Amino acid sequence: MKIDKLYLISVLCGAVIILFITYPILNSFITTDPAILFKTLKDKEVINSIWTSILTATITTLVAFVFGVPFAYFLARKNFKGKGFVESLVDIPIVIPHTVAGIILLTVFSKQCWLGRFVSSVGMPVIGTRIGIVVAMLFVSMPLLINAAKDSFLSISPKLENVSRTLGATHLQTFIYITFSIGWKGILTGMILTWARSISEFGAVIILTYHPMIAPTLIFDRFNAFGLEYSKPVSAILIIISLIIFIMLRLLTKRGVKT
Amino acid sequence: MIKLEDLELSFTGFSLQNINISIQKGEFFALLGPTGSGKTVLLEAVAGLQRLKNGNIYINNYNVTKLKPEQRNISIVYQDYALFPNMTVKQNITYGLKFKKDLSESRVNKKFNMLVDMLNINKILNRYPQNISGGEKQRTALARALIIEPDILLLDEPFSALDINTKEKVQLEIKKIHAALNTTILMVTHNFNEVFSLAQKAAVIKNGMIQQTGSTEEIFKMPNSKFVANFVGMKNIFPVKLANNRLILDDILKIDYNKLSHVPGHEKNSDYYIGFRPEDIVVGNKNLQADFQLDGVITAVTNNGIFSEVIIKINNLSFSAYLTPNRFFELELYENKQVFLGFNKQDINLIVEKKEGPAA
Repeated sequence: MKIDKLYLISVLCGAVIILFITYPILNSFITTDPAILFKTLKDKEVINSIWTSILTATITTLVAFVFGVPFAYFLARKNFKGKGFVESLVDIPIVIPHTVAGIILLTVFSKQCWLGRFVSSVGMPVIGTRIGIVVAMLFVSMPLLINAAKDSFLSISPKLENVSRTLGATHLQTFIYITFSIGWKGILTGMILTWARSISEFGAVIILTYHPMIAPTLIFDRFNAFGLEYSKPVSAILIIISLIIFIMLRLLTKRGVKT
Repeated sequence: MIKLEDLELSFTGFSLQNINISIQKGEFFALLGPTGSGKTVLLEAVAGLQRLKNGNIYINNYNVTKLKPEQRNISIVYQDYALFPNMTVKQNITYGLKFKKDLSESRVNKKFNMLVDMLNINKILNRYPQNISGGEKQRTALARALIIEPDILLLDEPFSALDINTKEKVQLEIKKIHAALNTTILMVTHNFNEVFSLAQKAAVIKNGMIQQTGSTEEIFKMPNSKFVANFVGMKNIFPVKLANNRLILDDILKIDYNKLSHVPGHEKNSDYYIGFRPEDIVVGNKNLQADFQLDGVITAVTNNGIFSEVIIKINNLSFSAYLTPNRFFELELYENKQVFLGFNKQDINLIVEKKEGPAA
């Protein structure tokens, strides 16, 4: 069988990419000392940081879902003056460096700003708390959920909603029974991306909240204090846990209907 | 009864203006117009899915203009059916019943069974819309729309996505349903044949404005403008001069104005046209028995299997005539052949259009 040249080039490019992604990951497992890995698994600080990462990334995703999905629906269905500008605003966190995101969040949530004083006065201080981690994660990852949900809603014909309304369903019932029921797969994809982006966030979090540590902060901390040998096992464990959760969620999106 | 009173609606680059339509209970009304004329927008406005700028909509003498779509009891069937892909055919059909608590269970069951039998969809109830044919989708959408017993059923180009055989079947089914349920129907289409075969009354719309309203027969026989005439299949429309009660067509034809079967009212500042349907023109190789006879040269022939179209040029005017294939072959017609064409005075339609611009 003759192999198409273009496909051959494509496959070769793909192979380079796959190698580029997988080799460093596999290498970090292979070169990690099993004894240190075993010891790390029992290290309370490591367990706490991974738990904090998972917990804050999950809370971030849920908050992004609650605020992002209705907003994405509005952006998908309504045209208004300045819509392009609003969409660009939503995308800003994607383009600015995450350390910069951390700095600007620190500025508004520190006691020098009214917002920082306000959140502290209502018992929800942001700097140096888990709330701070969520705020940093939310800032950098929320656009992913909004854009994914918006694309998902855009792929659903408004005619389906129109028919539902004429059949007696209110706008909210239509959203629940039709729009969300059909578009959940795209929204779930957005949630997975948000979660994945959150769990891997470091730049913004470290500026807003060094302690309590999330796993990437701990890895950075161990690397600075003890070198590569002691940061690698934590990295390996975080990769395994992240991959397991990521694959499980991806499998969930395999289910669903064609729209 | 449905009454649309002075409806106005606009968005960038498009507007519906001064729409006045009255549809009697149980009537099949068609709105006919080309693509982009505002037909679907008007349907959606009736259903409450488009915001009106002005005007009122009455259903059974009740003003529903301010009501939400779910409060109007109007069903819509879109051109692409808009079946819910996350539901089976049965779930699609019964979807609206979740919200119609006033319909008793026994009545609903009876109605469901009747519709499913009538539309012959018993065997596909557990299938998803992705796995059924276009005709089945259309039937499912109809059943879903009818089960809630709407005051009016809106049909948006219901046959445009169907192949010719399925289209004929579904047309018959809609006729049957209309007769059996006496549902008031408002259908929009760009195809006059569909209007002629289904509707009792119709309106022709162009650029968001109603051009003519009347029975389908009236519109077919007495189009009030060149546009409507063209749209209902009158291919031969020519400008004529009016002098001494005679209509003069380019020095080839003079018709006594008073002898026409239908003479519309006219004003001084008007343009006059005469129109003939291609099927009313007879073609022959020798003198014809007709009120008017002309001779010319064939410039084009086409054959679509059902009829043959012959274009005959007389002076600078091109006439289109339809012939049965048998008649076409019998006459041995071909391009550049000299032929006669004839028509009778009852087949001549006089169209009077008010001149655009300031009065002379």
